[in-house]
Amino acid sequence: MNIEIHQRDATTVIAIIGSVDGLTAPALLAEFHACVTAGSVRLVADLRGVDYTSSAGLRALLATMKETRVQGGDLRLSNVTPHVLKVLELSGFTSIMKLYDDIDAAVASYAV
Amino acid sequence: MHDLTALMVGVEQACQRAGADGDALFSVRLAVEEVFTNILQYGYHGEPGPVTVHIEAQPERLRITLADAAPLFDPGTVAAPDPDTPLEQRTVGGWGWHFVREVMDRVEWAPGAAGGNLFTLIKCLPHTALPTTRNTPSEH
Repeated sequence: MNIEIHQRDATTVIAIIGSVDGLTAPALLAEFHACVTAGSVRLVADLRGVDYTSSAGLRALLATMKETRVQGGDLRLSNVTPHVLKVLELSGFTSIMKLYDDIDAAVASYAV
Repeated sequence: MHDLTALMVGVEQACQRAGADGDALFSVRLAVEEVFTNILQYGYHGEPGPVTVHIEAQPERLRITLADAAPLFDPGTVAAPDPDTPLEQRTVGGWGWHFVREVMDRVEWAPGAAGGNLFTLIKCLPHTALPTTRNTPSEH
């Protein structure tokens, strides 16, 4: 799993490439946490390059979403692939997380 | 837990040899990881322990078994989490066996013949003509 982070206005985009499983999810959670600790609470996780996640990945998303929302921010998702979407749907995450078709839409959603 | 990478490679190879498509491969990979990590975390509590995984291609289905030497644990006793739980009440765990039950066609548990647990997972491949039955054992 590789992670690329770049800034779009006041939003931090975290592009994830690879599988998010029990081995890689802790590194992802650490990157999310580092962003929040640095003051970035408007996050977009771009999942275009993620074709697999287990419950370990969901735990990283849930923990970060809670951490950002208590500080007035959020963790929003873009480019969710079909298999990852299935995991999100099975766990009901699609009702509590905001999903967008692409990065632009996810970043723009924070301006509303 | 570092054996997870090798295990996933073995799972992918076995599924591809059996002609499992992308969705079936994803389902098997997810279910095996969830069972494997549950054994490590809750069966062995992070301590080293044996887990033996077999993937067998049968006519129009895959049969996966995971055997451990951990204390007896029947996953049927795990209540399914509620997907409608609001964010504030959600906990970070508890989804593993729910996913296994959702993506597999059958999930069975039995005490191992020599102790421990034997978990059996069945994934049907209704549109796939499977070759002759083979076994792909791997031990971790």
